Amino acid sequence: MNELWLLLAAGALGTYAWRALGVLLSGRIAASGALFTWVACVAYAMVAGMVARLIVMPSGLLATSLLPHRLIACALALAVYYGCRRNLLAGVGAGAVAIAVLNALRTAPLWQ
Amino acid sequence: MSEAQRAWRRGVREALQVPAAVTAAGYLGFGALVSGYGGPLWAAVLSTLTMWALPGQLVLMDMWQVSAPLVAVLLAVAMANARFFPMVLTLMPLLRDPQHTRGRLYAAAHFISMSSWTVCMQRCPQLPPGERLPYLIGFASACIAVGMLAGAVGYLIADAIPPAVQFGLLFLAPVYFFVMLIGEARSRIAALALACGGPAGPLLHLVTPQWSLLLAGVAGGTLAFAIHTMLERRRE
Repeated sequence: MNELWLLLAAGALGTYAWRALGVLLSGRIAASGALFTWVACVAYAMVAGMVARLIVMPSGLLATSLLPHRLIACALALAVYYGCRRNLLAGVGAGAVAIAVLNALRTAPLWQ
Repeated sequence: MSEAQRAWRRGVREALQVPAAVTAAGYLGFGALVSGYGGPLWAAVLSTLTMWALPGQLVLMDMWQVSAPLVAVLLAVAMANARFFPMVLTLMPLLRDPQHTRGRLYAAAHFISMSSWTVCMQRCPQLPPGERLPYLIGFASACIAVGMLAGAVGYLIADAIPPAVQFGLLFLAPVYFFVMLIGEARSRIAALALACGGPAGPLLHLVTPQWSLLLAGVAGGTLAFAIHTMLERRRE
């Protein structure tokens, strides 16, 4: 196995480099221009793409659940969020409980 | 108390609600995962401070576990976190203020993550320009502190967390971002980009897992930009 502290340093570098680049170039792109609008689109699309991938095709432990269950939980979370007048806590809570129950029903007995 | 301190405190206060709960859940799961991989406790805690990017941290520990070479880890983490570039670029104009030095802006960039970015993009325009940066720092430091604590707790109680619950904890973050992005998207351009980028993520993941995030951003973002430009033209 690799030296973990070295990997951690590399990880920190590979992460902060993007942030620093963002600061560096932000001063040179006009916030009202088309280029800036495009970058904002890319940022939102990237975030949405990542969240969608985490839900539709996750890796590791999350991959052990069923796709319909994850979709049901997300839909319910959104429904409760709007139903409770845009209450984020209620929505996310409902989604978490839904996925836990659905997963527990499938993989029961839960507490071994 | 100065304006900046008040803004900082407001950030902390607003973080210690749903965002902190979601952060805690995600990092409880992360801590348990590191423990399961046989990693040390300090890695589960320290990486949160140095990287502050849960997906990137997951990639890092995943690759460490399979003894991936250093260069491969660096590339994978960099690719998983490329989203920070457009995110920081778009948030910076909101944070800028004559009283902030360049160094302060570079330091603030480290605190920008998925959660703080989505919150600040909506919250900052409502705040006076000088208070936005302290607000971000307050918000993110509270989340980072909670994340480090939760990572340690998750690591230490890993054996006591049943897999189904561990799973639920890890799933909380995607649900949070899903609801938050859809429900709180205020502008048409944000809604368009979300609608275009969402399907692109999983679809491109089928073609090229390593590059999917970058490509989904560029392809989905460009499509959204094109539609937005077209609609603007039609209105004129």
